[in-house]
This record gives sequence, structure tokens and C-alpha cells, in this order.
Amino acid sequence: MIDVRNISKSYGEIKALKSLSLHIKKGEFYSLLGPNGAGKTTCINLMGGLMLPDSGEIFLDGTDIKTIKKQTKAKIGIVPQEIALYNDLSARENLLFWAKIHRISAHGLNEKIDAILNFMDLADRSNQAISSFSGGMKRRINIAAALVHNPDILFFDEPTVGIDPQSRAFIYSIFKALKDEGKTILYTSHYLEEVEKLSDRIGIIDHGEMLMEGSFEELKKKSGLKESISIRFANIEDKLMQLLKNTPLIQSSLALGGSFSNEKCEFIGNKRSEDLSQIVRLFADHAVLIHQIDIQPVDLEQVYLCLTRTLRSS
Amino acid sequence: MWEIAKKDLLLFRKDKKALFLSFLLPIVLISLFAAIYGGVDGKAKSKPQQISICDQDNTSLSAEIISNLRNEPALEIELIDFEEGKKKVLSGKRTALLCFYSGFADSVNQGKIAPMELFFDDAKKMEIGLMQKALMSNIMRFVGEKGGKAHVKSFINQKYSDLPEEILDEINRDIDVEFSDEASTNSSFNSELTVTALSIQENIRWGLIQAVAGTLIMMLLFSMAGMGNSILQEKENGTLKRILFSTLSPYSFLFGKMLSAYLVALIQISVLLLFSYFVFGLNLFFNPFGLIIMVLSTAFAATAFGTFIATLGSTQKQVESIYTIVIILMSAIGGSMIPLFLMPDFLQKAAMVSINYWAIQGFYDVLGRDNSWMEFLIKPLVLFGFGLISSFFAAYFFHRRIYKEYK
Repeated sequence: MIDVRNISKSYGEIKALKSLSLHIKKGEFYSLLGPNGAGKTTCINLMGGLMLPDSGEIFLDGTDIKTIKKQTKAKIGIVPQEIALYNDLSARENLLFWAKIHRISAHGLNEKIDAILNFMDLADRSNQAISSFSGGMKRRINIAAALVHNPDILFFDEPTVGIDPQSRAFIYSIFKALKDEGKTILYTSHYLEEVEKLSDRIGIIDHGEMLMEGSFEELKKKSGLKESISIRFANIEDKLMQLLKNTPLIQSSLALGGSFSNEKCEFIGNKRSEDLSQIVRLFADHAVLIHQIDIQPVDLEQVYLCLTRTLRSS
Repeated sequence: MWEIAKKDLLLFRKDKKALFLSFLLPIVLISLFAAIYGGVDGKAKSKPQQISICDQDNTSLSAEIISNLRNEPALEIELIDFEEGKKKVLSGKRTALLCFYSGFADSVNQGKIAPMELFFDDAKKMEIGLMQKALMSNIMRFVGEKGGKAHVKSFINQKYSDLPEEILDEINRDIDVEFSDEASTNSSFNSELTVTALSIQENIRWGLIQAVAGTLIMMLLFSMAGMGNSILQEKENGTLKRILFSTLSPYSFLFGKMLSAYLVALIQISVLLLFSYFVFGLNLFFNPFGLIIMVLSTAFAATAFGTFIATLGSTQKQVESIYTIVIILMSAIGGSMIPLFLMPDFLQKAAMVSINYWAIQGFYDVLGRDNSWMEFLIKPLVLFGFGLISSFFAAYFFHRRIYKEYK
């Protein structure tokens, strides 16, 4: 559905993308991860036909982006980072505008908009100006505006920034429904829990380059991480904490994205039993009283941090 | 394109501040300027000038002159002591002090230079200029009449002193009759210059036309600045980027914006003209077809110009400053704030670079002047030219400065 081949893009002296390639299949939920300024938004702008790459090719549903036609553009829906709507217009007026901009016929349009507002749980506020909406409601109507023309391809550029957990959970259910509908989705977010649950595949980019790509399981395998060991212990003095932090065992965990404080240690390693026995021995040697030990499978955040650090250092 | 315009019109309707600035404020300003230019009822009079008079001569002649000056509606006379009068002028409480020194009547009767003096407040030179006509015509009538008679009598008596006394007496009597009030009234020598205002129809209220046309175009430019600025607002809040992702072309967006601004401009001009028609009785039917042409061309020039300025800046704040400077400058030199005839020659020529000038002159033509169509059409044609050039540069800078940012 989306085929990106060796695209590069520069803004003056700054190289935003360097020979980046990715392929997203029809109906796939693909997440693009990377720190701020990694090139995620540029990637979306290029795929949406807003700008053209300096080199390389992009095909949307088999059509070269350079010769993109209105029919192909109509297949795209974009949810930008900002609430790109008209605050003084009502939710319905906003959706009507965006539908007409995409040349949707007036026939049955009100019914379509009603359905979308219901889907977004905003039907009871449809005639109110969106300036009166909460942050979560604004995010939902921002997503709704990208759905009015029923596009096959959706680009979500950090669509859940700055909202409360309840609203995020609701939006998460919307993404899941869209995925179940078979929409092809490119998604960027800093909330890795969502990404982990929703994504079929994940691409990690930094400094405009694709560092690694694959499903979460594939990425976890590439990182070599299996579980994280969380240890709670009696509060220790700063001097002892520094001493423990400087041991090779803890240093290796920190390098992989682990953490260490006066009363808690998040240990990340790839040899569970061996690691665990070594930690317990280290703590016992320094008379640190352990309160609790939890062993959990590693999450995407730990895998992401581990991979970006490893790849960056290499 | 129409969808962009429709959305902007809807936003405009909901924007109370924009509605106030586009309709209510211009209505208030038109009313204010109409009152200033004396156009509200066509008979508005300015406040009389306050003059102090010190009569040291204290003769029937000086009393007669003062009595006549009291009947002059442009003047408010107060008799005063010399020193006090000077103080009042110096403190700005009175515009001028007119002093008839003692010996005034004698000098006039002998045909000599009459001792009188006008002291005025240096800060009120303009007022002195305005009241000069009322003051001088009154005084000079008396001085000229009495002084002239004395001068003629003295000349005859000296030149023909060898004539018999009876003949000289008869000549003197004839001179008295000739210079009497009755004779002066009928005399062709003493007749005043008759001043008649020429215009194609009676009771054309040029003050009102100046107030309406000047204010209308100035406020229209401000409204169009607001509409133009919405391009940058869309850029800043991300809706422009979202629109560019859609099937709409960037130029459809730009010209959609211009279309909505043009429609708002047409409504604004129409509302203000109708207000002036219903409230002040401005005659809109003097040249109705010409008026329609003026409305269309003025709206187009202002819209395109507003859009062009919007494309020059990168942020709304930046463009707001440019708008304020440009519109105030254009309105000042173009005749919106001050009527052109009060300006020096070089400024009257410089006015031609402004939209205000051509719009005001065009409205003068269609609301009261007897110009030929050719003489009139040059004004809307220049305005359409302004509009076309501004549209071209608006499209150029929109592509170069705004759309290219996404490329």
C-alpha cells in the first residue's frame, strides 16, 4: 500500500531524511518511533504528498507520489500533532467543511457525519463550538476530521499528545476499531504502550535513518532482552548508591536502559537466573535489605531504549 | 475554492470583534466625520470665533463698526480693557484682540491711515485665517467708505481752491449724497463679490460624501487586513497544512480566501452606503451604475491589497504591524483622514499612489460630480489595476513565502 524507497530530504544544511526505506502493507498498523527531530513528521509530509523528496521514490497504492492525482490524495487522511481545526465552528461545521474540502457529495453527508460523531462519542456536543471542548474531545474531533472522507490510508502524527489517560484509552479504542476495519495506518507517538499494543510492525528512526524495523517480538529478539527485574529495597545512603551504581553489573543494566535509585532498581538483562543471583549476591555483600523482587517481560520502551542506545553507540 | 470562502464567511459571522470593526466602528466614524465636515444636516455651523475688542476711540464710528461685528455669526464679540484683552489672548482664552486706538474716527474722516491693531494668539493662526473674511469685510467697508469720502473732499478742496465757495459747497453736498448709505447700497463700486457654489444638482453635501468615502475606504482596508491575516492564522494553527494534504490546490485556498474577503468587502461597502442613505440622506441615485462599478472596483482593490500584504510576513504579529503602518499612511495621504485640498501640492500628487485617493475621487464622481464617463472610468480602472497587480503579487509571495515552507 505504501512503498517508500531510499528517500532523502534536506532543509537547507539539515538532512532530515537519509535514504530511508519502508514498506507498509494494506491493512497494516505501522508505527514509526524516534526521538524529536528524528524525521517522523517529514516522513509523513512526504508520504502525504505535501512535499517532494530530494531523491528516492514513494508509491501510494501503486501511484508515484510525484504524479499523485486527486483520486489518490483522497485516499489519505491525516491527523496532525496540533488541533488543526476551526475553534469558532461547531464540531459538525468543522466536519462538514473537511468533508467538502475532500469533495464528498452532499447526499447523505449529514448521516455520515452523525455516524462519525457517534463513533467519537461526540454526538451530544455536535453543535457546540470546539473552543468549548476539553483537550480529549478536541483530539477526538481532530481524528474525526481525518475520517470524514473515509480514507484507506491514515497518518497519525502523535495524535494523543497532552491528554488525560481516560481520553487516551478512548482514542486507543478508536485506533483499534480503525485497525479492525482494515485501514492502513502509519502512526507516530511517544506513548510506547499504545504502540506496542496496536502495531503490527514498528520502525525505529533517528537522524533521518531507519535504525531497525520489525514486529515487537522481532525487535525484542534483536535487542536480546527478555525480562526486567524490579527490586525494591530499604533506603540506602547516597554513598552506597554510587558505589553500587559503579559496579559492572549495574553499569551494564543502565547501559541497556535500566535505572537505579536509593530504594529501587530496574535491572535489564538477558540472562534472567544468572542476573538475578548476581544482583542478590551484590546486595547481600553490601548488606542491602531487599523488600520485593518482580520479574516481568520487557516492554517496548525498554526494547526501544536498549536498541537506540546500542545502535547509537555502534 | 467556494468551500474555503463559505467557511470564512461562517467564521466571519461568528467573530463579534470582526463584525464590530467592519460595521459598527465605520458607522460611528462616518457619523463623526460627517458631523466634522458639516454634512449631517447640511447646515451644521462651526463654533464662532471669540474676539475681544478694546475701543479706546469711543466714537460713533467705532461703535457702529462694533455693532456690525456683533451681527456677524462667525464672530463672538466681547468689549474689554486693552491689558486684560492682551492677557486673554496670551493665555489662549481669546483668539484675537482688536483695538481701535483713540483718533481712529478722526483719521478715517480725514482719509488718513486709521490707528487700529489686531493682536492674535500665535498658536491660532489657522483660526485667524478663517475669521479674516468676516472681520476685514466689516471694518474695511466702514473705513473705505468714510475714508474715501474724506479723501475725495480734501482732494477737490485743495485742487480747486480757486473755485467760488458756493460751487465748492455744492460739490461737497454731492459727495455726501454719493457716499451716503443709500447711495452706497446702489453703487456698483461698493458691491460685494457674489459667491455662488456650482454643482450639478442642488444641495449636494460634499462634506458628507468626503466623510463617507474617506472613512469607508479606510475601514475597508482594515477589514481586508483582518481577512488577509487569516491566511497566516491558518498557517499557524495547522489548518493550512491539513488543507494542503487534501485534494484542494494551494491556489484554490488562496483565491477562496480572496473570494470570501471580496464578499465581505461588498457587504461592508453596501451597508455603509445604505446607512449613509437612510440616516444622512446621502443620494445614492445620482449615478447608480457608476456607483456599482465603484463598489465592485474598490472592494476588489482592497481585498487583493489586503491579501498581498498578508503574504509578505511570516507571522500574524509581523503582518499586523505592516498593515497598520501601510493603511494609516495610505489613509493619511490618500484623503481619508484629511480632505485632499488641505494638503500641500506634493502630497496631493503623492496621494495618487494610494487606493484611498482613487476610491474617494471615484465616489465623489458618482455621488455628485458632473464628470464624463471617460473622466470617471479612469478611477475604477486604476482600482481594478491595483487589484490585479496585488493579486499577482499575493499569489507570487504566497507560493514563495508560505506554500514553499511545506515543500
